[in-house]
Amino acid sequence: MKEATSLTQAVAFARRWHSTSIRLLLIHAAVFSLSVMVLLGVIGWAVTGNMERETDAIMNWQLVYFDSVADSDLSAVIRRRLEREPMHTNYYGLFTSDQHYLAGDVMALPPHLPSDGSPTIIRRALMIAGAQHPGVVLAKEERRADGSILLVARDVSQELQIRSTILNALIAGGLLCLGAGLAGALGLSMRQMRRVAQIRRVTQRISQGYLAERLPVGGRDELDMLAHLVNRMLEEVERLMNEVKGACDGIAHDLRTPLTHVCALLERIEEHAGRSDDERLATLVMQARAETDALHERFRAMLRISEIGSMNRQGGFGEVGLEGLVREVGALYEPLADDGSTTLSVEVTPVEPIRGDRALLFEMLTNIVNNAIKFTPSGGAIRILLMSTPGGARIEVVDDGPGIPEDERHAVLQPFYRAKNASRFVGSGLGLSIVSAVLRVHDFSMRITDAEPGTRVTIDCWPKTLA
Amino acid sequence: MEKVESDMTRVLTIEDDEITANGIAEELRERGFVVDWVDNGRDGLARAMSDEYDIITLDRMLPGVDGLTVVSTMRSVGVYTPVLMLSALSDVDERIRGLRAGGDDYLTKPFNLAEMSARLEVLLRRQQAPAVQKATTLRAGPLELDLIARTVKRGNEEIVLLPTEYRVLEFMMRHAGRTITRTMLFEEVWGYHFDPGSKLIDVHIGRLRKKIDSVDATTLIQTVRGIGYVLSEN
Repeated sequence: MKEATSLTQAVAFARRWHSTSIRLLLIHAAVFSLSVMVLLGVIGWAVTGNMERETDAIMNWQLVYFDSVADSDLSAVIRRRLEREPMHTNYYGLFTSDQHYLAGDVMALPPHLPSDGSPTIIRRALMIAGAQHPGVVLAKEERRADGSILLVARDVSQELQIRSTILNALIAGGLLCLGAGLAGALGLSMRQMRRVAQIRRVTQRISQGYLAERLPVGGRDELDMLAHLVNRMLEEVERLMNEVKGACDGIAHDLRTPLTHVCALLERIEEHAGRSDDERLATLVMQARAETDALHERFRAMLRISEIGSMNRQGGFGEVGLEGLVREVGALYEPLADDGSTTLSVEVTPVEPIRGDRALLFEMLTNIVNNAIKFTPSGGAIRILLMSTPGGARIEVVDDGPGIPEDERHAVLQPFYRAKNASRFVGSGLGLSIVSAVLRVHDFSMRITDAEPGTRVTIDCWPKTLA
Repeated sequence: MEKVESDMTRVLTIEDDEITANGIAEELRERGFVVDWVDNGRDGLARAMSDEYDIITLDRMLPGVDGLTVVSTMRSVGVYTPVLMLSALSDVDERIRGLRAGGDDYLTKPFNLAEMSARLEVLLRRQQAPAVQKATTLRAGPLELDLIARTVKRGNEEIVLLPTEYRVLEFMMRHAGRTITRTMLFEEVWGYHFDPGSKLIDVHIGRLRKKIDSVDATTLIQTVRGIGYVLSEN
């Protein structure tokens, strides 16, 4: 359970990452915090560099000054300088060539100092009079003409402190900027994602045929501009659809009436022919009636397709138990299969109820099963299978008939298409189009594959466009 | 108003299309009905309210007052003459709307005239013999169907039927002697409103026939060519 939750969170995060806005915002946050760090760094290095140069200059000047003093006076000069060092930032030490203390407040010569006079950092190791340890010092030593060694040191702990303060500020500030950017990106993108999700929901409903739906608009950003455009387009599409539907309904009504008339007239002619014992006439009328019946059937199927297609039928939607439905279709068609010397069997595994229009799903399945029976030669077997898959319930109708060639599998779903080997069978050629129309209403998908031998029709009973 | 000819069945046809109306009228007159035709909803409603008809065929789309208004007005003032609605609108929602407004049956145009008269006969029968609805045993010739025990006998021999076959036979026995069309059977027994093809119903009837004729060779279910079946009453 917990794993599932964390998985969903991970998926949600991955999905968020794929959103353009969050990616842009995160990149922006990273660049911004990096620039802040660089800026702080530049200021820091400029300030401490300047202080370092100043320290260096002061020490050099002191050495130059001590150079100008005679060796014999040096001890006294050093003492005088120390007296004028109330802040105690400079330290001096004079030693004999064998490193014995002569003068100054540095009591011992630190080991390993380069003798060429280059400055060296000494941390809390310089021994000074008064037992007090200075912090970090920069020290230089110089060998004088009489062989004595002069050590000049200056406290640089303040500079180092400033540098570390700047470094801390740099890291903390950078992290703060990054965090704020991240939080902002998440917040903003969540709002954007919510709007996109809302738009997606509405678009799905529109694609299901609810043309009166409109995308939500609430502000004036790019998304709203797009939503406005799409809404304007939808208005136009809806207007056109209504016009076309109106025209179609008109034509349908206009065609139905004369067709009804012809049927009625033929029926009456047939009766008269029956009475007058004119066999030739009776045969002709019968042929004419067969033709009008075929026309009738085709016409009804056509209207049925447009009816299902334009149906605003979520009203007919409810929970559908597929097990009962599949069994019912099996029971309805078993005698027909038996009549054609084929066998029809139903194999059902329990599945969760789905959302759909039961009557339409029933009509769809009867068309598929009817087709399978029609095209399976005697001795063949037709199986209706209901199974549970990770995606949801799946219905398969499998026969061992001649099968549908691969290049015709898509075409058979088009209205009026008849497979090349189907010409000897009666039918409107619209059965599978009714199936397609029902699938569209439900947003289910169907595949026709080779059952080796025969045809396998697979219907996945879950929406193609996952919410 | 009193019925003029009590032994003749009087039909009121409310239909704005003349040729369709003539077809209906001719078909029904041949079956011995008296047919009055009205071509608009207003006059149709007035005639229907007079309560002098046994049954009404009503077009769904009429000029002026439309079919739905006619039937719902009739029902609201207590006129319960059976109404067969005829409509070019075949949508299931339309059908439900028509039946909800008070129609007793609904037939989509273009329709077969024989289909229409078969439905009218069934409606009339239901109206005239409500006792059949309450009976616990149905009888038709040598057939006896026990609605409580759900058993069927021909003479003294019991016939074992599958549930669907039982429902088909029950429907046919309720309307014994009347022509039952394939669509009527499919609607009544299976409860769906689309055309499953005539052959499908034929094979179901074939099976039922084989079972009920197994004890006696006399065929009880006759085929009415091009229309449907009839179960003999005697």
